[in-house]
Amino acid sequence: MLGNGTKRLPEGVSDIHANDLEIKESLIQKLQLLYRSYGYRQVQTPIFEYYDLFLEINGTIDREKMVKLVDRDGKILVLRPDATIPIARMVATFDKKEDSYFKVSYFTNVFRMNDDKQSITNRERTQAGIELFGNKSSEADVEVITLAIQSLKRLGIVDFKIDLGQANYFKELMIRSAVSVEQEGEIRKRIEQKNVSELKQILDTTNIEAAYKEVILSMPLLYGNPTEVIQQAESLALNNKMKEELRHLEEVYNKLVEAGFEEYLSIDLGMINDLNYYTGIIFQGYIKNYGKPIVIGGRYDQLTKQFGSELPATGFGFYLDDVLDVIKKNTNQATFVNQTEAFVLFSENDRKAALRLADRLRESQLIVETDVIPIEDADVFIKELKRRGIETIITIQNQQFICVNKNDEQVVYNTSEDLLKGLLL
Amino acid sequence: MDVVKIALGKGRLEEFTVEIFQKIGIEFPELEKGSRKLIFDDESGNFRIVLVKATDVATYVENGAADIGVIGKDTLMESEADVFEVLDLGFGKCKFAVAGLSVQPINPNQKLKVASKYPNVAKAFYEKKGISVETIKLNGSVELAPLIGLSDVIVDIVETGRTLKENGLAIIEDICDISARLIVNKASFKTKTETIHPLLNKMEQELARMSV
Repeated sequence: MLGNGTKRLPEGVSDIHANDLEIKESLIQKLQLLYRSYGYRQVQTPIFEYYDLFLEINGTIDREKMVKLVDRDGKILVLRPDATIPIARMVATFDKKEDSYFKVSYFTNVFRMNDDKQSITNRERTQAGIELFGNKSSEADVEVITLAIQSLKRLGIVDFKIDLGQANYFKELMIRSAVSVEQEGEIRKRIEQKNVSELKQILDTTNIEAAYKEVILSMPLLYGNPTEVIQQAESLALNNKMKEELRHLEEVYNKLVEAGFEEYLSIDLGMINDLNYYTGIIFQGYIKNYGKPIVIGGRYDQLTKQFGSELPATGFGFYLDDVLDVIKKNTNQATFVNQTEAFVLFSENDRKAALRLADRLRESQLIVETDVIPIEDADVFIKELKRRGIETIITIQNQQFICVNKNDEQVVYNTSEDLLKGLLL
Repeated sequence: MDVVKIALGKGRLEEFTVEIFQKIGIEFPELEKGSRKLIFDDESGNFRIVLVKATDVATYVENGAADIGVIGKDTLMESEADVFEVLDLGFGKCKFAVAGLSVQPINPNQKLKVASKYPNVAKAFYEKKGISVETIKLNGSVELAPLIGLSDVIVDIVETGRTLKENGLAIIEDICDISARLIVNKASFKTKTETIHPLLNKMEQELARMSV
């Protein structure tokens, strides 16, 4: 026997057993149908790419978290740490003449070294999502958020919230406040944490103008009822640019309400994560009683510039494993689900006839297994098949077909034609 | 309505928090009787206290196993948890500081060795200053480390400074103030608004009343 190291899995990765994989695949199928019906076409990028691609992009991935490999020429490769950046590279380097709109969807695994010992994190996770390139209007924002909501609904999740934000409102505020990079970092962290008391302490040590201080101090509290929040933010806005960004958010919100999604929406202008990347309307989705955001998205108009193209873009990504977690929590899954519907047992002499019969049953969409009747302990073998919950056990004996169903009711057929007729009715 | 789960570390912080809850009309009769259970429901059935180890509060809240937690800023900083930190409860005030031998100057040409119960806090503090350090994680009696040559300095919480003084150590630099904080899981904050937001408001009002 091999040593212990061959039986254990490395940290952060896991096997997926048949039942779970089938549920996961069915989720993917539902989303594929949805995205396709809106004109999004699925793409795939390589599993490893150059480290430099992700390093030079002002993105959101910590360099120490990427899984690295060394190419034959000494260049560093990484396992795909993110789905969007490679897709942006792919789309930006397309032949741009024929179409300026690119609607793509993806279902892909991403790899990151998460070494936080206190929390349950995986190094390999499946992401699903869409990206819409080439449309900078609010219609695009609305469509993408609509699809995020539709995705959750299509997966049977009801109790969720999509939290909308506007990255540019805060960005403009920071530009006007003329704070240093370090100060901005400190301020941003406190706003993200909704930590008003420490935010106040930090502002007290800076020489930002009082009017700006007041707005910054209000940022963590600009959340909740959308109409009220927008009104409040409007009265706080210090210039036209900030007002304009708010109006853009309001427009998107109103259109989503018009589409009947009001119950799912809230606004939080203090949601300002990953601002190097996002450039407009951003959003996060949360499911009740699930501790982490389940979908993250927003506008990122600057990304394709880094590949020499100028395509505005917006999109979102799901961590599909998290969705799977939620769905499994809500439904009690048996540890083993039998799917085989018929089992054909035969002796060596009847092998040919038995396999032909099995094939014909499969052509009629049944799941069929076959095996030779064991010479000894045939009863034990059949008992085990019954325990597995197989609907029909067919034994070929003396040119006859003996069918036994779950309830031990026996029917004998003389020809395979009769059996097919009897069974498939 | 959904039950709001509150993670508390056993001890002074737990007593303080339960007192605030009492004042705003949320009673946990069994807990007040001194039961040794770990899970307690309030009379209305809307709130549930879960007693955990103080250093685990952030983990429970970050992962959504609890919606709300009360935790010292020291433990919270060390955990680096991604949560909302919505209220400063103003309880258990002290500070994080760097301390070292008062007599012996630190050799600036050597990589600084820092002993602490809070290695993440120590690392983050020096990283911000652009100084590379070696951290040594200790679980108690941190004052010993510089005395017997395990480290150059320590990063620890300081209340009165008496322990430091009695061991011949002095504060070299303050890092930040510490007090008890109310933290909220980000998803709970967004999805259980109808229970959590009124609770936060009431607690804030009560704290303001107490500080007058």
